[in-house]
Amino acid sequence: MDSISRGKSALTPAVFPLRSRSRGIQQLPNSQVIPPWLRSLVKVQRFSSIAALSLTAAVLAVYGQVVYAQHLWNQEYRKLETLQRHERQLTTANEGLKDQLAKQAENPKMNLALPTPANNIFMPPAPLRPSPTVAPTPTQLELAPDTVIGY
Amino acid sequence: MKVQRKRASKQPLVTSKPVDPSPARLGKSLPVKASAMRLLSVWAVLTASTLGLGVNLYRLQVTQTSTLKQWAQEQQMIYLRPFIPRRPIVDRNGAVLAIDQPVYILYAHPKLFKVSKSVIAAKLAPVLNRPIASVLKQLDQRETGIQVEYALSEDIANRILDWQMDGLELIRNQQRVYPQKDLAADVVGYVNSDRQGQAGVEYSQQSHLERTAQSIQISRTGSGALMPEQLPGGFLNVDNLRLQLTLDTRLQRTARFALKRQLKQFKAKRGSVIVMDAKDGAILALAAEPSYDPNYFYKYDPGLFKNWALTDLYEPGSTFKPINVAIALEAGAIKPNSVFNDVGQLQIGGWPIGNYDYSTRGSRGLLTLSQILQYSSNVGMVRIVQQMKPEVYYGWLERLGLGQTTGSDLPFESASQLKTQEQFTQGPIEPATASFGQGLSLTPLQVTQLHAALVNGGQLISPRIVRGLFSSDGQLHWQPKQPAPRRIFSPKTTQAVLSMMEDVVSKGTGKPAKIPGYRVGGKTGTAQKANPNGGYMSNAKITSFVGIFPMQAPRYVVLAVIDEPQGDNAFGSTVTAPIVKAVIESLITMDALPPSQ
Repeated sequence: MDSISRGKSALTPAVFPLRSRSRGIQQLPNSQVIPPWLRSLVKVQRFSSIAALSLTAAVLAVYGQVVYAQHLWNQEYRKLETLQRHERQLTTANEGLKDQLAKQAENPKMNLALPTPANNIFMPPAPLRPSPTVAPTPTQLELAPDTVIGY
Repeated sequence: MKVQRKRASKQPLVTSKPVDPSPARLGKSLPVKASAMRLLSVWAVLTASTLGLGVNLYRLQVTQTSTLKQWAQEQQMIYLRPFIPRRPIVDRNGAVLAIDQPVYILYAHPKLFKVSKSVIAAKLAPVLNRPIASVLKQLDQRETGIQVEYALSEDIANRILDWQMDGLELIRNQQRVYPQKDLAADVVGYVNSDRQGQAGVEYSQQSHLERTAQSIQISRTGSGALMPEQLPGGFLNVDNLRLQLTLDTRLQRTARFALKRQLKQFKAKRGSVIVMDAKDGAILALAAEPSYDPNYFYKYDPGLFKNWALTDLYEPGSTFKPINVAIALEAGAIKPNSVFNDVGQLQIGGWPIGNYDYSTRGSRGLLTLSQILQYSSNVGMVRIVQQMKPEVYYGWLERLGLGQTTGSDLPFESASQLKTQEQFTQGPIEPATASFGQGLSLTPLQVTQLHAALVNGGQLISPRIVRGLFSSDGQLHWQPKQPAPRRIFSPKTTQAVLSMMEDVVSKGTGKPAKIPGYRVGGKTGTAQKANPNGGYMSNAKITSFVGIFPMQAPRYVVLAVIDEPQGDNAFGSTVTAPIVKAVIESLITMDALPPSQ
């Protein structure tokens, strides 16, 4: 703290009280000139702190992306598993129902019979007709383009 | 204002606590040293802690790395095995015949229970649909590894998982479900607990149905979610290929229904119906009664697991007569307009051979080929076959494939039996009995194949049941290799024989199979069953009927065989012809064929 206060006070013009002038002027350490190695060190420190901050920010961003992507993937995978399960269950249930219906149909109490050709109806196909042409309807404008319509 | 007073005493201005830093006070040596010491001590502390961190880092990263890695792996790594089921089997219209379902086995480890056994038993009992006492009894068996329930559905398993109770473990397994139950059991077969097909298509196409699922090692996050970066490509193997058969479940239902009706009416031992498309050998229906439900295969007698339409031989009897006529025509021994004298009864090599209705009808006199088939005259057939040399006739029988299998893709097929050439050509009796279909044994499938050769213009095609592996949008991925068809008859011969078979239905013994408005051809067969000890059983018959449809453009062959029907009125025409009629009617409705007359 002393050095800092001394450094700060070194930049501001020294104010000596009138009384101490009589004691003699003591040479202040000439700390206005910062040694070059300190200057470069400070520069390096500033640069590295900026780099560290930006890299940290980037790391956090990428990490966030990764976690989000994993979360999304897991969500979709669970959806896929659920859909596959539903598909399986639906198929099995559907086929089981079909079989059950067919077995019920075979029961004589249901009074259902096997399909026979006697119950088939065959119709000869109708002869091809030409498609009717659509006559163009006259538009209103053709009648009297001069008269005012409306009002 | 302590400073002012000090000025008055003319002492050097020394501020021990500089509040206002701007007036610089010249620091003497003592404060400089003190702050330097402080600075040094702070620096020393920081450096020491950094060194300490460095040492710790080294310790963690270098010396303890293997143990820590192992811990991490134990906590994070799991083996993931996605549910890759055995491929489903579908019929030609897409109806599912066999499909895999995941099921869960519930294990209990009572030594890990946090609550008492009775509490857990009370929770499990309603979910498992069992009385609490039985669940409790199971839990009391051992301390660990009790199989409480197997084959739990996914919903129940999820419910149990949601409780998150210690000591209950669910292991996923697969179970093969057959939604159509016993409808196509003889064709589809079943799968045993080792997931190996044991019969039918499940057995013969095992390599195409089975899919191996590799378990993949993958790490988990703390919340249990997976980290998908380490997954290999193609992990989610979502090829939805299904094995498609040529079977038609609708036709199969009709065939089975008609078959069971006749079996019940005539109290027969067993029966079989085969429907084949003669153009490519595709089997549209194959029913063999009695059958089993492959969902519960373990409850049935293992003798039911074979498909007797493929494995058991029988003497075809009169249904073989059209084949013999075709052979004789092709060999040039007879002409389509030949006539033969039907005397009703003969003696061949000391053996009496007569028509089945000799006692009522006697001798019929001169008969054309068509009439011989219409009246199913044994004597007429003997005369026809006597126009050929026995060696020639035997050569033809061999060329038809007698003595071998049909080469179909259904498993466990038996080869037909034919006597050796020496035995056959020794005396006149063997060719004579072969002329009306006794003395040689074939499977019902082979009889169908031979008639299909008549229907498709003379080519012997191997029957097949597997269409191939298709994706759900109809793309073909794989097809089984079929042996090339072999020509045995010329189209002229087959045309002649088919018209004779049409007369059998319109005028002869096949009248019960007549369908008004449609042209159907066929042949009845009533054969005595061979006694395993030699000779024939006097009161055991095997009746059959083969139908061909539609006659204006022949395509389908329908064979119905019923073993040991009881009753005096048990003949091919009464027992099996109605089955063929019902099946052909179903075909008409399914294919929407218009009447031809």
